[in-house]
Amino acid sequence: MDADINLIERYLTGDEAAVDELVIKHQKQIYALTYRMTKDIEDAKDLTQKTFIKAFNGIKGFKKKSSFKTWLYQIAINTSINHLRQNKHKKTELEDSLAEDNKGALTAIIEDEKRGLIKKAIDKLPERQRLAIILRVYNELSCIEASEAMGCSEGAVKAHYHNGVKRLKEIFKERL
Amino acid sequence: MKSDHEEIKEMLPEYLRGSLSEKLKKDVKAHLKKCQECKEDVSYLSELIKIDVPEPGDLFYKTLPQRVKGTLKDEGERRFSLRSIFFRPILAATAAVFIAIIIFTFTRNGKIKEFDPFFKDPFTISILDYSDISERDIISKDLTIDERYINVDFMGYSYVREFAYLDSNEIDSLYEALKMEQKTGG
Repeated sequence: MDADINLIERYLTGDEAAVDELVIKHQKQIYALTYRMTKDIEDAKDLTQKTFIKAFNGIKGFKKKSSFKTWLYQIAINTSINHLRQNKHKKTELEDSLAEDNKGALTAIIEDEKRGLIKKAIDKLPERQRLAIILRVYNELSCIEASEAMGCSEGAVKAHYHNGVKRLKEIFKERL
Repeated sequence: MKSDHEEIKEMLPEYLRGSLSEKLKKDVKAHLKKCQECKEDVSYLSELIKIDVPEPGDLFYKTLPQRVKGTLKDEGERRFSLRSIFFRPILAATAAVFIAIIIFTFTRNGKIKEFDPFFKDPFTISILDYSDISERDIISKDLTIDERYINVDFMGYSYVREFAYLDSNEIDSLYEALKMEQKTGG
């Protein structure tokens, strides 16, 4: 039996230590995913905690068709997207003001301009394309796993990923 | 059918993190030598991987399991208290009986009528003016001519009022007396 499934079974029988093990096992990847989605440490911390709470609250709804990791990613993605949509207006205003204030300082600090440009280019990608790249490149999910986490077909993930990489290159070239 | 180029393009994230088999790795390397587009993709994806995620701090990771358990426990207790009232059969039955008793008591005492803003209890109206209605008027309205004949003697005197003051024993003994009178012909 899959180690995660075994831990879930233990949790369902009342073993609280299983929560510790599951959280410790997946917390870094979930934090990295939520940070890449939000680009804010505090938001990412908050969303990581919310993801685990939602997962354990709805653990009886976990059908075991996909892996627990993929299911957890799915919750993290939905929670992060909802958060971004709720805070879209506030976030854009804050980012604009920070960008203006630190324009000179930022250019001096960032040594690797290329990396900085790519990072900004990712932020400019449409939500689904950005998500497909994050899941495939950073979170090391296969196309099937990413499709389960994103709630779409494998073909759609491939299309989002390819269009995302293509758009990334275009944005980068425009900026150079 | 997919071309080698498309298949390899899809494998690039796995190639970069070294999770491909040796054979596939060789295939990708060979393809990269001749495909400029895939070479470019590898270059961009490598840069992407280098973008770091800032560490949230050790304390965050150390305390997260405890915080998750704490929140789950709090939420569980809140849900338990609601369930204990509405979803537990014994408590639900007790609550239903209690509510039924309250409704019954209120209805019986007539207190529930207080909730109807349009209801006017006629017995609570203290000023009722009957001065312009005589007893004769009431009889003439309520009884037919034949009934008036039965209840009113030739002098126009009504026995109804006198009978109304008798209790059941007195009516019984009167009835018995009348029957005896009828038998004896007295």
